[in-house]
Amino acid sequence: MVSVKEEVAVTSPVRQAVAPPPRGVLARFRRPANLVLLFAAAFLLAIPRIVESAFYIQVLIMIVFFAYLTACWNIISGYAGQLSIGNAVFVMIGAYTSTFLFAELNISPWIGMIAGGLCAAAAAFLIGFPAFRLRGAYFSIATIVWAEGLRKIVENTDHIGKLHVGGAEGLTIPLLDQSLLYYQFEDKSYYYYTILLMMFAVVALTYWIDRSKLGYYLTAIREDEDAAKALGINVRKYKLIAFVICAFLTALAGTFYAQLMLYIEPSGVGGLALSIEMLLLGVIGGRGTILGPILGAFLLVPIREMARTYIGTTYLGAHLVIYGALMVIVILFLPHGIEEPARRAVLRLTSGSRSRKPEQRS
Amino acid sequence: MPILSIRDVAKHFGGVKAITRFSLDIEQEEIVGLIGPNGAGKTTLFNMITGVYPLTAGEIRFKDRLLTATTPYKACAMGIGRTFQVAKPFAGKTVLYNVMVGAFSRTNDLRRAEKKALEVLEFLGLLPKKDQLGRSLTIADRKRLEMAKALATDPELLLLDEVMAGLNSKETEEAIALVRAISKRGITLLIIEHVMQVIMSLSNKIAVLYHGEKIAEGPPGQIGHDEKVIKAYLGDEYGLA
Repeated sequence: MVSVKEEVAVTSPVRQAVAPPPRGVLARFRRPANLVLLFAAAFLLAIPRIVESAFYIQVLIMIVFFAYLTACWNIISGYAGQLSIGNAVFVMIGAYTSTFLFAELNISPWIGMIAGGLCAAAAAFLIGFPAFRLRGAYFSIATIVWAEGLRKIVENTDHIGKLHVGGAEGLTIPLLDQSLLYYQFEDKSYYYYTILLMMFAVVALTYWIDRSKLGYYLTAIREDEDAAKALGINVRKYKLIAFVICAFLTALAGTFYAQLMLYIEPSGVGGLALSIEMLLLGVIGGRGTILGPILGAFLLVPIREMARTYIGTTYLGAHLVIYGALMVIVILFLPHGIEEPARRAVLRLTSGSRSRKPEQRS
Repeated sequence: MPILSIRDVAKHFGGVKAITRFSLDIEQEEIVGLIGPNGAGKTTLFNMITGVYPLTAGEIRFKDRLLTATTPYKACAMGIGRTFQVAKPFAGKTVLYNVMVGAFSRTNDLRRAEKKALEVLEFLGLLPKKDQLGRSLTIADRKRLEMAKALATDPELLLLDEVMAGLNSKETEEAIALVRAISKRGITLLIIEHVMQVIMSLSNKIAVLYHGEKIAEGPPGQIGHDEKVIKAYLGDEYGLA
C-alpha cells in the first residue's frame, strides 16, 4: 500500500508537467484513445472475413442489432432522461410497414424502411405530444400502454379490408430473389454489414448530438427541468424532437429484422420483452453516453444468444432474468453503467500516464 | 416607461391566497429589493413574473408587452433571467457546461456558446472552477453558478432569489460587489434577500410583502423607519438601531 501511495506522489507532478489536463469537450477524445476506437471499428468490419460459421455471424448480427436499438433508445432515455419502456412498438411499426408495402405493392424494403421510420416518427409524436405535458413516470407508463395496446391490436387483427395483417401468427416476408433491391441476401454477412453501418451511423449521430445545442438541452432537461425552463429551453419541444428521432431510427431496425428473419410476429417484434431489453442494455451500458449502449450490447447480448442456444425455447426469456440480476449488480457498483470505468481504463492505458487520480465524470 | 410593470396581480392556490394584491413598477437599470417574512409570497411573485404560475388576477407587462400568458422559456427569451432560491445546478455536469446551456439561448453554435460562457464565468470569478462538477460546488459557488447561468442568457431584467442566503460575511461582501457589477452592465435587478444591510445598501427602492400584500414601498431610508414594516418584518430592535 505504501509503495502505491509513493508512486502517486511521485508521478502526479510529473504528469502535470508532461500532459496538461484536458481542456474543453474536444480534448476529451485524445488521439491514442481514438485509435482504439478506430481499431475496434476496423475489427468489426473484418469479422466476416475471419469468422466463417453462419451461427456466429448470426450471433454477431444480433449483437449489433441490439447495440443499434439501444443506441436509439439512448437518445430519448439516456440524453433526455425520459425512460421509454415501449420502444418495441417502433420496431413493430417499422417491420410491418415495410412488409405490407413489400408484400402488397412490391415496393422495395429500402423504401419501406424509410416509410416505416416516418410512420414511427408520427406515432412517437402522437404518444409524446400529450404525454410530455406530464412529468416523471407518466411518459414511461404511456409508452408501455401504447406499445402493448398496438401489439394486442395487431395480434387480434387478421385482415384490415384486403390487407393481410396475420394476427398472432405473424407474417412471412415473400422470398423473391437474393438481391440488393429486395433487401434479401443469402450470405448473412451482408446483413451484418447493413446493421453494422446503421450502428456506426447512429454512433456518429449521437456523437454529434452530444456536442451540439440539442445534446446540451436534452442533458439539461434530464438534470433539472425547472432550471432548464428558466434558461429558455422549451422542454416539451426538445423532448418531442428526441423522441421522434429515436422512433424514426428504431423503426429502421424493424425493417432490417423483418428482412433478416423473413418472418415477423407481434409478440416478437413488438413485445414488452424487447422494450425492456433495450432499457436493460442501456442502463447497464451507461445512459447518456455515446458508447455506453454499444458496450452494453456487446457484453450482454452474447449471454442472451447463449441462453437461447443452450437453454433453448424451454425457458424463453431466461436471459432477461440474467440481465436483471446483472443490472442490480452493475448499478450497485457502477451507478453510471460500465461505460465510465471502460473509458477511464482506455484513456489511462493509451495516455501513457499512470496517474490513479480518477477523472471526474462529465 | 418602467421596464417591468406589475398591476394588481393576485395568485390563489385553491383557497390559499398567496398573493392577494400587488403592484410594482421597476424602472430601467434600477435595483429593487423585495423583502418580507417567510411565506409572504416573494418567490411566488418571481414565479408569476416568469410564467411558472398563471395569474389569478391582474397583469404584468415587460417592456410594455403583456406577460400574462407566458411560460418560463418564453420569459427567458424575452429577456427575463432568474435564479432559484434552492440552487439548481445540472449536478452531473461541469460548471462550464452549466453556463453553456444558458448561453445556447442566444446562439446555436457550440463555440459561440462556449465563448459566451467563459466570458460570464470570468466576470463572476468562477473561471478557475469551470471544470468542477455542479454537485461538487460549495454553497457560495452554487449561488454564483446560478447567477452565471442566468447571465449567460443575456437578460435585461434579472430576478435574484436569495443569492446571499447562507454566505459568510466575506462571501456576502463579494456577492454585493458582484450584484453592483451586474447592475453596471445595464441589467435591471429585482432582488429577494433577507440580509437587511445588503438590501438596504444595494437597492434604489424596496417593496415589502406581508401575507401576500404590499405594505410599503419606497427608498431604503424610508422603509427602515416605516412603522408597519418594523412591526411586520424588521422587528423593534431594528427601529432602535
